[in-house]
Amino acid sequence: MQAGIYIHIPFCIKKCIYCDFYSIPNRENDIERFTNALICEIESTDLSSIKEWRFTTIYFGGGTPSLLEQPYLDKILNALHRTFNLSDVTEITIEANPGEAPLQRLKAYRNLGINRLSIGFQTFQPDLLRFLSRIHTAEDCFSTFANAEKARFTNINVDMIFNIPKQTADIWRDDLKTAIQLNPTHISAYSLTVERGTPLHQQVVTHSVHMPDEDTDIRMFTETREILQNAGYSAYEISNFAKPGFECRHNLGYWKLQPYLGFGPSSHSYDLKRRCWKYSSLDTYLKALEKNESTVEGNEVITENDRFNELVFNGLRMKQGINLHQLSEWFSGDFENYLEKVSLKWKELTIQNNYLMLTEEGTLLADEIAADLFITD
Amino acid sequence: MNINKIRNFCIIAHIDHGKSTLADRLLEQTHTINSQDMKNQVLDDMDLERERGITIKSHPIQMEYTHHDGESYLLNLIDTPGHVDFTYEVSRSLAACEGALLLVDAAQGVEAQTVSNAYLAIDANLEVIPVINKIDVKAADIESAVQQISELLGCDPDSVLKISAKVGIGIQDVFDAIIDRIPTPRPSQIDETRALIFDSSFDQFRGVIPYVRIFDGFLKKGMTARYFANPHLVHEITEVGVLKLKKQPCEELQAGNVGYIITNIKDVRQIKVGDTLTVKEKRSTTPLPGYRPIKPMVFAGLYPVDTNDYENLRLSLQKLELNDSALAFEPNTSAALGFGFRCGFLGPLHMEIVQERLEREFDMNLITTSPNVRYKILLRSGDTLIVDNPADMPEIGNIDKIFEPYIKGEIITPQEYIGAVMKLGIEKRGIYVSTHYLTQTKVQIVFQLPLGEVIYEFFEKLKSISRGYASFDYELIDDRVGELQKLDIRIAGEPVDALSLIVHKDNTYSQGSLLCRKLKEVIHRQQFEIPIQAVVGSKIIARETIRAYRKNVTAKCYGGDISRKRKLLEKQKKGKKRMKQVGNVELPQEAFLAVLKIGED
Repeated sequence: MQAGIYIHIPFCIKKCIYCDFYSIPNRENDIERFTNALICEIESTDLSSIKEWRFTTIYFGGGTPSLLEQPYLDKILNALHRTFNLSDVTEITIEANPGEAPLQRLKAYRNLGINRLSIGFQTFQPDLLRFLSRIHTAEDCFSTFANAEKARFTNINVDMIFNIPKQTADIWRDDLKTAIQLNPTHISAYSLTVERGTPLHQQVVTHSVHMPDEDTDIRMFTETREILQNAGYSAYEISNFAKPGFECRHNLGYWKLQPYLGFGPSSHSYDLKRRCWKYSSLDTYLKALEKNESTVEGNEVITENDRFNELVFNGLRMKQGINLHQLSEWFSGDFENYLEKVSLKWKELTIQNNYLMLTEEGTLLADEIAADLFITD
Repeated sequence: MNINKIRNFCIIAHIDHGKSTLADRLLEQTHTINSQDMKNQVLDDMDLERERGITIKSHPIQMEYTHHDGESYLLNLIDTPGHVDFTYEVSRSLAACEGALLLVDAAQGVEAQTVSNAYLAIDANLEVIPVINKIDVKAADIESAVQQISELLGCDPDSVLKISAKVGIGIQDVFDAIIDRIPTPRPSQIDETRALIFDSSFDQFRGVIPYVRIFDGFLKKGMTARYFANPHLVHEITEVGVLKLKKQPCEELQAGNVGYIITNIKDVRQIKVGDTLTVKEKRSTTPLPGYRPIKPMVFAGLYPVDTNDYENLRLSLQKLELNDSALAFEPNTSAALGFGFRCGFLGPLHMEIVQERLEREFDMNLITTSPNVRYKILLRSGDTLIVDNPADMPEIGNIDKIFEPYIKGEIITPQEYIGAVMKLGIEKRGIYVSTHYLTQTKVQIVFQLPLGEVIYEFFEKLKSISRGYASFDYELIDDRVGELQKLDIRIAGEPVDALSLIVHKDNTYSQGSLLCRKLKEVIHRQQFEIPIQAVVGSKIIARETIRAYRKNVTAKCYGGDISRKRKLLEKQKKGKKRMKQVGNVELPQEAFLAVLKIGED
């Protein structure tokens, strides 16, 4: 069974107003301590229950993992090698911020075997970058991308964001075209989402910031798909686009509900029956490991219904759709009847080669349709 | 048992003044229950009662008490409900007693239901024993509470007991007062049997079990029961007994005592609470004086979300009726909601409780329409019509006059909220009657109000404008002509009968546009545009539009997001399950109660 490894690096120079991942600024002095703790955590993995797993991907996310210099990543990767059989690993990704990953560091990463770089551009517009509280400039984006190529990264993703307040469809189109001109192998294009608990949420609920209207959001969403597909990127997931063969294998693992192990604060692990998560606090996480205690904050059982619903929800987001054979295994009752009913109800669903997928128009309603397909008791 | 050794009494109090705790202490000290199997507040055995801290049903219980003179006494405690909607149940409990303990919280003092309960007890000729409870709490102002209660009852301040049921102070004084001050039951006056049915329960094997107070003669196993309200019903009494913690059979029930009989009657409607029971062997021809007959005042439609659940809903309502004789219902068909029931309740709280019990105990998924009062309509033709459902309102052209029920509402509030209370009263079309200072800082304000206004967010508003300090009680007074008209709602062009309401002419426009706005908030966007219109006759007086949604898709979903997103969508799906399809629009339960929220802005 194919599986992935996720490592969460929580450090950031500055927290962005929209970000709801766990990250913490001004703690770079703790990088050494964190690395040691992380290694302890990796090495204390209970291997007995994952004997059947074949690890194929490793992903360093954050936070800003590129704040870690080569020796730390070296130690972490060594620990992974010591603990797991990584002979089948074909993809190792690290996230980097423009302007925060100098050429030497990128070269060193490449030498460690890291073969995929994901750079958080978001936008090239100075005012929008300021609004998002990003600390880089458009020039930082270009130079970091150039450095990545110099460091012989041949698989590079750039993250872009639309639906930013005051962003027009024209500005977005320009941004997208600029990104395409760099010719990255992968582009993630997200609609800015206001998440609870973020400063952006606060600004929106107090009406000091107004999100673009739905028509604008829809227009950008639709045009993004058109422009990127015309430029040779496949829309293989709602917000992810890749040149043929450069789909992110690690993320595909999530969406196909393959198992994964997570290390680092707030990371999740999933073994098909259970999902567990580590403390979302660097200090609690460090203290636990230094006392040889578990870093698991909580876990939940994934029932057959849950699994069915997750498969539906994630599967519909992918261009290839949901494997109906797999789906039927987790359905109790008359699956054919169920399938006939839902496909009659939603003209936005199609079935091809035993896969259930959304039409192009259907992508706008992915959540709506997924929820309708859910089994709830 | 000598009739002189029996005391029948009840405890009456405003909500939360500690009635159930005092009952617990009395049961404990008479060893009626041991502290080991003592559930907290044993008399409140419904989940809901315990959660809300109120008693809805009355549960009689008999205690054996040994006084300090060495004599044994039988104390029958008839518990009473403690909420404004349940005045009726209080009054029927009182009819079975000779005395009442009137409990007042030492910190709160006299409240609206203290007053209404005290009057009910005085009207029923009961000996009222004033008791100040919770004297141990920090905020207790015993002196003021004593002053308030002695003024209310016109009694000697020295006769007021001061106790703490919670920590057990003064409980002996309570027993002494019960023995010394509550009159013994009057002896049988005739050689006939007459017993008042003051409550009943239902047992699926033994049928209806009436709880009775014997006033004349006696009841014995084997006698043949006859009922004044149902002369055709004749049955053998297969058991008589008294009500300890559980039912305890006995040889006979003598005049003055309280107990139960076993009837094996399976149809609850055969036996009416409030009726007089006699027996063929000692048949009486004159019933005991009855008391205020039960009368629902608030009406609402209950409809199953899934039309297949109609039969289940009927069965559930029938089961509820077994121990809630105040509930009335009849089948009703709504063009929008299909088959359901029009139900009558004692008041808005009673309605809420029934709805909650149906959902909890019977697992029913329901749509409840907004509540209404009962209107008397005088037609141009000279005929009179009774309407408790706006959907049944005749054409405007045919109506001569509409009469609506009025109540006398008594509000007790700290004086700093007088202004706010006055404003609320007037907003609710109230007619100010009087102000009376109970103490220097506590005021009783009386209004005459249309009941139809009181059932919409009145309690909630009163509580919020007075920071929870004002209390309220009401009684029905009469029907008065009102300038009323029917307001209809159309959703996506379709009239939704279950959303119609009857409003005062002066408020039609404001209520119409507020209701449209509220509906816009609670109806989820769908894949097409939905106009919402408020209509009087054929005239559209307000409109809102719910825009179609066109995008609903999560941007990011990675390893750590999956569970959270799944739950979000599951919640969305479950919300839809509770919706009712009207035309091609899905209406959530909240839409039908939106009218209740009109006043919230």
